[in-house]
Amino acid sequence: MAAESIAYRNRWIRLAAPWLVPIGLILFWQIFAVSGLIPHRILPSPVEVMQAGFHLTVTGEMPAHLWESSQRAVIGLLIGGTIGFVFALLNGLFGPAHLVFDSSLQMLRNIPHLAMIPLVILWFGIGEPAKMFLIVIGVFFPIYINTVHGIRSTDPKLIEMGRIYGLTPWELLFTVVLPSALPSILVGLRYALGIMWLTLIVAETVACDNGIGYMTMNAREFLQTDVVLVGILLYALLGKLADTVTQALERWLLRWNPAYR
Amino acid sequence: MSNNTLLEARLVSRTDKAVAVRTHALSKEFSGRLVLHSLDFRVDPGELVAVVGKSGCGKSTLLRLICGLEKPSSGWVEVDGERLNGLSRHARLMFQDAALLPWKSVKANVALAAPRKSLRDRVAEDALQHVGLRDRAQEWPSILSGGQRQRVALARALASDANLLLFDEPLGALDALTRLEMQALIERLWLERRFSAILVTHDVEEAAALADRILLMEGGRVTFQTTVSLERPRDRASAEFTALKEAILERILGRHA
Ligand SMILES: Nc1ncnc2c1ncn2[C@@H]1O[C@H](COP(=O)(O)OP(=O)(O)O)[C@@H](O)[C@H]1O
Ligand SMILES: [Mg+2]
Repeated sequence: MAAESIAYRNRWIRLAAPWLVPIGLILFWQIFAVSGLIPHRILPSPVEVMQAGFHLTVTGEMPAHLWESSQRAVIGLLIGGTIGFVFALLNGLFGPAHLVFDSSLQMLRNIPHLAMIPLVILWFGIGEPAKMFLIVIGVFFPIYINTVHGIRSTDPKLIEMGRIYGLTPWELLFTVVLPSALPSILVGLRYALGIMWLTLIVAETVACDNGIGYMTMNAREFLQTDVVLVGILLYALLGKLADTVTQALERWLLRWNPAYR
Repeated sequence: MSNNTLLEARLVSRTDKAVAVRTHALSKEFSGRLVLHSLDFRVDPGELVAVVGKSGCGKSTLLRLICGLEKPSSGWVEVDGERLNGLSRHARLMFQDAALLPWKSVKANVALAAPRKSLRDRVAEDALQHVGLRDRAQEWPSILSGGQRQRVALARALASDANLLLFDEPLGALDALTRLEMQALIERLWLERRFSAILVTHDVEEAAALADRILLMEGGRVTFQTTVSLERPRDRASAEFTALKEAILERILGRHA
């Protein structure tokens, strides 16, 4: 009985503990802001930020920007991810293709994709294609590199086993090679998501007329620090959301693997 | 005989298709180093041949050539009277690592070997029944013990209508008790199905307990062979058994005069 209630209490402590620091910080921030030590323009209080967020939601301004940003993010991820995946299949499965393409791709990988912004603006102007291009380039590499790595580290014994039991090349790909590469592919996806948000923020901040990045840059011009903070918090939430979803996906897809149970 | 046993007999116990294996002046070299020296070797249909020898003498290479995973440098392999070209339809190789797909259930691992897709589930269940793992069918391979995994690999070979089983030290990683159990299981399945089999092992007792014939390989050549005519199941405590074991061990260690 006593042991049970201790275990029960421990569970609650474990659930609550990660929240202590953020809640403490927000409380501290609120007290600090209300005390008037810092000008409102530099740092509005958490309550004011919440109010601004509520207002932006009710007017429909934030949902519209959010929609634009998410659309960009998802389309960019799909295009870049697909290209990366296809290249990875090609180079992971066929030795000659790997020989021809891989070292060039590894070289390009070393260019930080955000360093290409001036060039991208010269090529595409500041419209939608420019942002899409940056996201595509950004997510391409983590997907490509991790998928190739996953495919090439498939246990050769398993492939031999599949061949001995008469699996066709397609069956080998779908029942042996890709499932074996999956953990690595998912790592690539998580990296890609991180890069996707980062690229989106930078691209929308540099040049845009909608999206969360635009909303915050616009607010800056009008000295609406609370709106800027709403934008920043929104990015944090979106990033966390994407991470949580991929983690859940990982746990489900890799449930055969003792390391993910 | 009930309907069920009839079906089982049809699905799993195929006693009529054991194949013969012959190698003709079979040689294999790896980057200029000769690993098999013009080997002439034969397994009769339904025979269980054990191959013993020190590590590095070419036993695994021989099995890989017989199932077609490697190409001979010269000479050829004949299975069921046909010259082997590419992978053998008849042969199934089992190694120390059970090579199960960790992302498929035990049953799915066995089912992938079944040649007729429509019967896959039935065949897999029957094969698992034969190795005593029917109740573990839905589990992930990662939670099974080493011996159980080898039994799943054995069930997979059974499910595939294998006519020639090539065992490459399949029990080498198991503890002594599990190994005895597995040896009994292999013997039982072989008696039921009479597939042809080559058992590579470093355990002379295992060879003496299971084989119809024992070959000793040294440096890529067969240097000694003996037919074992002891009655099955073999009494490991008998004087004949011990004498046979000693004789082979002495050959291996080169203490013969
Ligand atoms: N793919 C390979 N490439 C080069 N050498 C190999 C290869 N496979 C086996 N060998 C060599 O062939 C010899 C025999 O190997 P193997 O057949 O595995 O021996 P055993 O199974 O009897 O221990 C060893 O010396 C090994 O190093
Ligand atoms: Mg070996």
